[in-house]
Amino acid sequence: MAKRSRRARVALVSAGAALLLVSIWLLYPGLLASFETRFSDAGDSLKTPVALTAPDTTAQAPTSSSPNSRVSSSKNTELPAPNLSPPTDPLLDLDIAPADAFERLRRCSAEHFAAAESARQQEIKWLAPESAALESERFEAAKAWAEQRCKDWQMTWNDPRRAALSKAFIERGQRSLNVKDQLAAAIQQLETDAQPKNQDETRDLLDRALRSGDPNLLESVGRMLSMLGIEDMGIYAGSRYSFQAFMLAGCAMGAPCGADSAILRQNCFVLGRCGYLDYPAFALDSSVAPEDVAVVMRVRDQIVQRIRSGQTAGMLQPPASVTPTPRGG
Amino acid sequence: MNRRARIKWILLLIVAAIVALATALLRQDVTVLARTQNAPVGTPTAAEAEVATSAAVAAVNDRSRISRLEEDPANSPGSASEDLANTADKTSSAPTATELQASKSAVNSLRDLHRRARAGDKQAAREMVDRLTECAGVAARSQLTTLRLPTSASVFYTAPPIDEAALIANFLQGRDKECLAIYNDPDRRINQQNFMHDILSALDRARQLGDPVADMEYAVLENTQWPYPAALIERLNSRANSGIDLNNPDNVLRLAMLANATDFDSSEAWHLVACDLGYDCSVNGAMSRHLCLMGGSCFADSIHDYYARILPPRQWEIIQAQRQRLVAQIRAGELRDIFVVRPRGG
Repeated sequence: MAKRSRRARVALVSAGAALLLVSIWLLYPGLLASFETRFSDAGDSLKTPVALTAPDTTAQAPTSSSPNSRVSSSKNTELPAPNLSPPTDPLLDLDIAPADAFERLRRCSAEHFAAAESARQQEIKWLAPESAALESERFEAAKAWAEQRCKDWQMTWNDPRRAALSKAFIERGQRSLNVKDQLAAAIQQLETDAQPKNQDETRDLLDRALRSGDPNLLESVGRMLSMLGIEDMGIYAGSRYSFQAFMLAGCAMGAPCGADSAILRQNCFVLGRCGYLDYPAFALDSSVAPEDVAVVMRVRDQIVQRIRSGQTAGMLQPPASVTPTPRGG
Repeated sequence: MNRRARIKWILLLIVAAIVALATALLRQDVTVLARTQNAPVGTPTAAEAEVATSAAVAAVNDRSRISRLEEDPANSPGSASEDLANTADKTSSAPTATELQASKSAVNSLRDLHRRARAGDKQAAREMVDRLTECAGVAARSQLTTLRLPTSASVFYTAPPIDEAALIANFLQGRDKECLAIYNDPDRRINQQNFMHDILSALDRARQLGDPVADMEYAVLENTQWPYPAALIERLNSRANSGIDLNNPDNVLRLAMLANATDFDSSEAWHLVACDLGYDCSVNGAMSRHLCLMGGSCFADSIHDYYARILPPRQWEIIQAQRQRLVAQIRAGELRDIFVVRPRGG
């Protein structure tokens, strides 16, 4: 009898609770709407009309490991109806490495070209006549090089096409087996997100780049470390000289840094600072304060030595404790 | 109580619990609902909402602090102490009684400046701008020590050649407490917003009292576009062409802040020109004080030596060229249309 009565009570209570939930749903429709909103993020892309979004053709890409893999296959049967897919951006059909594509996306905006012209005019105005003449010649050559390189890639900074291409190349770079492409994708991502999504993965990527001993990767390593903090990526990160030290280390180890190198042409065109024999001459004349030259060169030597002797372990580990100082590092 | 009554009570309790839970959940979701149901695509992100919240908090803080500056201490005894006590609650180390007293009198001194400016004292209005700028710098520095920055652990670290804190203390002569009492919010962004509000108010008062440089500074600070729009450049040129004495080194120093809107786009060049025109640029002199407290550059050598060691050679060369031409043009009275419209850059 007692058992039956307990069962009856449980049944009644459950029925009551269900009834109440239904009543609440009827009285407060917003409550369920809020849950729906909260948990529907994952399905957003399915609900958004494809025509309104940036073309994301990488979704169709086969999982190829080649760094320059083309993205034209559309055999993925899981995709929605083909008539909803936007046309593929022709730049995605080019046989171009993601790292190179990012460089063009970054340097080829219309705003970049306008700023370059302005920087040059402002810079040249204050140079001695002989320097101005020498640099003008180099500037014109660098400009022609940049225009050729940026052909087909000139978009405004806020162009949705630029954002779509950036997204597509990030995905390609992340899938690539080439460390340079992976680094470029991580930098591109960092420029958008400000913080790496996964610090351990970022550290692992940078660590692989250092261990590879490839001097061509040090520019990207330096760029990335200059965007991160010492508390995230260790004692070489977070300084205004992080980039310079790694770039100079790359030059010392054999990366192309001569008068005709891409980095010097780029700096000539973008900053209007031209006519240097090599990157170290450029850096020490236009980017490093005289009082900081010694420390930058010391760090450069240390990086070279650690890479050459295979002692890169710990370079990216944050220090155990950080003592704040007003001047920073 | 019979079985039916018991069941009724249990159901009633469950109803109450569920209604309470639902109400709580609904309240939590009010903002989410408002956004998701009513807002168009492209509405503020969570970060923007956070900034907006900070702005709202700042507005509240603004009101309380401005009223503290404006209230008469004689009519409200102990109010400054109360404010400072509240400040002590928010910060990690509570000030001592002596510090509180020092702060109280310091606040009064700034309040006095404020009162004089309100009464139409042009010099006091100008000084108010400088003092508030100094205070914002002091408050920002005090907060920097609580942030995790690249530090002595960095492989790039070199010990500073001077004791910066001692130099600042020497320049401030005890007024740091005053500054910390004004910009005392633990949130740096709120202090920045408060500073912007205060500095605009002070500049507004100074320009209303007939200070043309304050009018230019006000116009630039109020502007949110870069590069500066043509209308702003026109306004600056119109002001510069109508009665600013650029042979007065004080004016040159103040215009250094607007240097990037001019053809002579390095503020360093303007500083050096102020020296050429007679500003006190001796070691630990007025220029050193100005750059240390307002520009964040503290040094114990001459400004010339300082710039020569911190600027890359190419930049130093360009600054010297700008300096020579600027001082020549000022002396010849040829400074029409020095503000220039710049193209949009990426």
